Amino acid sequence: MLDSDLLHSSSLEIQELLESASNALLAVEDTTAGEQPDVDELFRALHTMKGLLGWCEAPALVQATHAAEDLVDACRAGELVLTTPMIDLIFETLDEVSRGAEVLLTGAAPGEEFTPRCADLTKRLRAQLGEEVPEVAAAAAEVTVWWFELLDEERREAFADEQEERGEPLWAGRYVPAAECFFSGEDPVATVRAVPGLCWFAVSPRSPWPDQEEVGAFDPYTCNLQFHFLTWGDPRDAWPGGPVSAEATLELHALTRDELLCTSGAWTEETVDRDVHMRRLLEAQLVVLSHAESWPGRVASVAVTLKRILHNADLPGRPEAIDEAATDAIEAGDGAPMVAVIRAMLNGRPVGLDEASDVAPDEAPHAPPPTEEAPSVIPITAAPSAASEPPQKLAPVPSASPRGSKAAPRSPSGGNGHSPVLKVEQARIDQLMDIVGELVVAKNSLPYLAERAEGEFQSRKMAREIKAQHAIINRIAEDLQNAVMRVRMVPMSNAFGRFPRMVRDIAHRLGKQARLVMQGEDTEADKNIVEGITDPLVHLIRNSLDHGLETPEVRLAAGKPAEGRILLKATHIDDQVVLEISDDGAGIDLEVVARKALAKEMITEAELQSMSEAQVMRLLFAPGFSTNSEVSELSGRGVGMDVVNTMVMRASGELEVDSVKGEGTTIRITLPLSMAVTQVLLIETANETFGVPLSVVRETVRVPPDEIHVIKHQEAMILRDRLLPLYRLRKVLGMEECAVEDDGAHPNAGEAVLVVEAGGQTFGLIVDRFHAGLDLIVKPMQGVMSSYPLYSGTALLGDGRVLLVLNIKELLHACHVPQDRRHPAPSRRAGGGRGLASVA
Amino acid sequence: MLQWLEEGGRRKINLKECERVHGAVLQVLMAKRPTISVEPSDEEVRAWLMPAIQGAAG
Amino acid sequence: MRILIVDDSPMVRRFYRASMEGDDLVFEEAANGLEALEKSLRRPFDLLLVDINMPLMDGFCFMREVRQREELCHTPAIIISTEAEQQDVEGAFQAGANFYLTKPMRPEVLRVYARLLAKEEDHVGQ
Repeated sequence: MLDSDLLHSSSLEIQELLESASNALLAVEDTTAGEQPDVDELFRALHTMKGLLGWCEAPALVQATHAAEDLVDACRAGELVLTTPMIDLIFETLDEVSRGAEVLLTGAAPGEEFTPRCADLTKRLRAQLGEEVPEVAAAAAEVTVWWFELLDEERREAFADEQEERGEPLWAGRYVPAAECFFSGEDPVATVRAVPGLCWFAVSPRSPWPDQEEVGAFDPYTCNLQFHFLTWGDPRDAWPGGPVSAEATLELHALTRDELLCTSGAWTEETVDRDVHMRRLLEAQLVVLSHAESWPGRVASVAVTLKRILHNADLPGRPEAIDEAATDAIEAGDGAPMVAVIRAMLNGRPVGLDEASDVAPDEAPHAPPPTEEAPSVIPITAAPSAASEPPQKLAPVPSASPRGSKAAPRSPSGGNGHSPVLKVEQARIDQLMDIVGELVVAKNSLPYLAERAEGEFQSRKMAREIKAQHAIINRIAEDLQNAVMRVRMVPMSNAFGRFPRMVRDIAHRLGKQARLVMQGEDTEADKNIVEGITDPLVHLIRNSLDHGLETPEVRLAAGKPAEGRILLKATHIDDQVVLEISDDGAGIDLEVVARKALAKEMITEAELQSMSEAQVMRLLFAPGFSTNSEVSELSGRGVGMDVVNTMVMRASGELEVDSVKGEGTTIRITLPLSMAVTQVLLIETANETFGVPLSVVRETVRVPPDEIHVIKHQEAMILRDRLLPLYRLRKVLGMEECAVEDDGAHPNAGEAVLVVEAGGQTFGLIVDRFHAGLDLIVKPMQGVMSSYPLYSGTALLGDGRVLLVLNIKELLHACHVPQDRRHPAPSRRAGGGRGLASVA
Repeated sequence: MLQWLEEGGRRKINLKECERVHGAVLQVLMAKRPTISVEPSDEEVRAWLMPAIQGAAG
Repeated sequence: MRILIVDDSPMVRRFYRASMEGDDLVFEEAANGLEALEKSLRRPFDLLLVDINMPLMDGFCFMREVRQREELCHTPAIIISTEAEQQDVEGAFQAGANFYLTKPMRPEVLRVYARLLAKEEDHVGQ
């Protein structure tokens, strides 16, 4: 089953496990008499080993390891004490596994040569457990006789009884004739049917048949059949038509009674028929619903599972109906509505259209055949109505019932004055977006071309023409991009939907009164942005409820209404979406924040003195900070504000906090409308080019060196009557040692200062040179690079080079952290070489 | 027969008199899953042939 | 679709990945329940494949944690274990798993389930 490569790596892992098992076993041996040895490690090693051997198709070794595991487990449970003979036996088992691992190392599976020794070991280990020593059959019990499933239980029981009567074994066999058998004149069907004592057989394809539609894909002359059969007596003695040819396979296994009744439970599953698995999955959901623990979560997970099955297996019905049933089931604390949905899916009836179905069951395209039999597992709550009724065939009825009318309109010609709506798969839109992205990048190569035309080929006219063309293509690309982006826009209500319920539940649990007011739900943003912001919002709202709002008593005492208010507001500002979560709770006490940060040694007293209120507030988002000293029931989720901040940043957003003690807190998240295209300003430092998102750039200025002042070791300049702190990008990035290239073009122009604003602060970045601004598709950092917060992403330039885009906010953060405590800036080498790498 | 089935779109096959099937023919039936108008009258043949053709065994 | 594979054996994790290779899936791995929970809380997954017997936090405990947390509870989960005892199967469903598979299983079988449980917008396989 596994390829040799996988077997090889399994072997390596087994050898590691063997080592830790041996060590653990030695430790057990050293344990002083009377003391309880620690066998957890040993148990786990054996357990994992057993699992791995199972993958490697080494049933004999699995048996022995299993027995050893059981022995150790009994010791763990305090049922017995491991004696020296037992420990010896386990060592012996480990030796055997070690030999098996050597075979595996060669890429082969340990074969039958292991069976006798392992059977013996198993027997002796089991004897130590005082267990009835299972017959030889036990060693073979793990042989895969999966296909027994093809036989129904009654048949199997009959065979078991007959076997007992006859007193001779029933053989299970698998015959795979040679692929060329038709040419050698063999008819495999006739061969199998002629097997003496044959009592059952089935034919199946060895590999799936080619696509029906594809004419010629199927080769009728190559035999693709395999046979599974049951026979009395060993058929090898009398295989019809003489000995089995070398190219054919004949596997045989004498069945035990246990196996016949399928109680050994060791068979793996073979069938990959999707419908079979789909039914199992659906039936399992009935079992899930038969337990009450964590009911809302349980129902929610079943709902998601059902919706995915509905979609992936193309079953008829409305996914919304599943959500409705889930809401009903959670509210009523009763699984009946969900059970009805599952039954409908099992019987091929459309979900949510029970009464006035406009799709008769047998018209449904890929519905599984309706079944009379009840599912093998019966849940506690059965829906009396829909569940037990046989599938009904209903003539198309004008949809009159309220349930039916909720169904999504099936015909696009509904024509209520609305323009027709076209449902498009997201994948197609994403593809379109990618193409637009490529177009934008390709378009960016034109200015380079124009430059070359002028510089290399001395043709100013050509350069002008290229530039003119660039302007036109630029405009078209922009229009196209906007059009595609509009298609991807979804309203914020997609994210807000579950919040009212959540606020109610949490407030209830906390003994608080809260009301959620939502504004601007129809504000639109890119789908990915809306999706990416949902989770941070959940955390922030929980946080408001948990830490912000006071209990009714406290509120009344402070002269506030008992019911707290949380406002969730979405608005458009320019090309950004602003989300505000504000509460009228206790607010954030900056003193407490500062004290806590000091106590946790996140800052020093001296640093605190020089920090502004906004900077103190920022500490809230520092890793490891949490204002509540004890972890409350809700915050015990292990997610702090720092994680929320990271999540917001991942969605390309920015987070700000504003709070007045005693009056409440407002958290503001600023998001781009779309993550697709970012305007980036290129800058050069230490001979490398970096990108800075244009959205944070306020202006670019040249400052003569004598206008740069040093105040308390901090460089700064005066810009329009305001003191602007300056940071040298070389220093922040740890590239001071790079020689300053002679800036020939501007000998006395002064330092190039990029004035940027991030996190509510304005500051200057001294760079070597400015370049042009560009529209780029910035991709988030991946792999090892993602751990360097100083960069927010990479972008492909028109000439094929990769650009690193700076994360200004993190950069500012890095500037503030005292030198000795700062995380080292990514080493240029470790960080993927130069800022600009050529792409082959 | 393969050609006949591939040409014919929805051709039907009558297996009433069928008592034995050659493996090569069987796999054409299994791969192409034609409509069976009449099942084999021989009970034993029907028991193994029909599940195979209907593709229940994967 | 993002899948979290929770199993203390790197080999088993690799096997799962190999089983589902080719479909457009993103895998993350965790060696125990605790690591799995941390990773899930950082960013929820779309499907969880969970072993039972693991150090630090076992699969049952992890499943309970998942089902109790609002941001994670809806995630479909399959418990995959070497144990085939009725009590293990029952325990898995009680802890909130949506399905139970016994190791070892054929790669194709795992793939069938992954495809059946693929997120609606993804188009995995056929």
